[in-house]
Amino acid sequence: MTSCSMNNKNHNENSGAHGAHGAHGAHDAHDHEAAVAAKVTFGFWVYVMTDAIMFAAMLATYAVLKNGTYGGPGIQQVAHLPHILIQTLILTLSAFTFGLGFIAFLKSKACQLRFWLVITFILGVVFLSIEIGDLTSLVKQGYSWQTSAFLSSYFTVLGLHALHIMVALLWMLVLLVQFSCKGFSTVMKTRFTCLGLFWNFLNLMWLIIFTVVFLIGAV
Amino acid sequence: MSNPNHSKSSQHCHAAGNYSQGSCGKDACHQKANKLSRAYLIGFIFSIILTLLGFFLVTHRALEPQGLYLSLAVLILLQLATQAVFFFRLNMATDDDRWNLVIFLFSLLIMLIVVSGSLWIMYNLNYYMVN
Repeated sequence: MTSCSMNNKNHNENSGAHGAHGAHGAHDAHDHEAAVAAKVTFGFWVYVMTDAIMFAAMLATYAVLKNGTYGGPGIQQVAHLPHILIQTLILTLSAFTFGLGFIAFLKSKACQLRFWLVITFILGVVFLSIEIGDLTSLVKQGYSWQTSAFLSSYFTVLGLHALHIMVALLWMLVLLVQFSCKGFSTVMKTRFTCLGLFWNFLNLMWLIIFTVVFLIGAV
Repeated sequence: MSNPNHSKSSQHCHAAGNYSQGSCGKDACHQKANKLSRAYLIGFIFSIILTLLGFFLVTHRALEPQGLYLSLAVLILLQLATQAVFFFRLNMATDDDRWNLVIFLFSLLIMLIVVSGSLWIMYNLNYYMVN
């Protein structure tokens, strides 16, 4: 955290890199850059929505197979509700802290950005470790995904979400390193915007899993 | 960790909302960033309240099962709306924003068809297998 001011590269240097446009000048280059950024963000948004369709299909599968317990445990024996509530609050909080990090980026505050990203990363790791702890203790009790149709779909839904979280955490680390090299630029803003969309999306998917799997399961 | 003596770094700013990527003056940028942070805060508080409400309704068995299902459905729809407005910042201000909204609504339609169609056909299959 000592070298924070080093990363505040002048924004104009970036548009200067497009000097090859010659007569069009720096302003056109900046417009072009912004248009590309808007396209990338839109494309990523479309991807996020298709990912949501995949989650919806998995949740529909879960809803169909929910009662197929084959004499094994049902959702009420499997779910540990206090853990689930803590996980939900942690993930929602992390979506908020990521938002604060994004705002720090908009205000060109490198230290704050790093601080909030590290907080978000830690919250994500805590979420993931609670999740993995719960799932492995289930397997150790002898209730793996092979036990019943219900447990297959349960592990699939939770595993799919955990896998997404892992990818997002890896992405967050990569962006932290990249930010140290590239500093504030339009490209980095686009990347942070996309990661923010992805992270909020994972939070939303968890809130839906929380309701559909755990709350309805507990009724 | 956050250094207050950072006036040098705030000379340029990259704010223009989540999706539109223009450049703007420093004050306008900071105004937009502040607006965004207010939206995140409101969204966070709403989201936490909705989560806790659903949790305590279920754990305290505040209603009959039918009423619980209904209220959970309402809560998740409110949650979806909260996230869409305050975190994803879906709106109709510019052309880009409207396209984001169209993709969102179209995906919701697809999800509705996939989920309700799956549940319907599997319920029927189950029914005719038993009877």
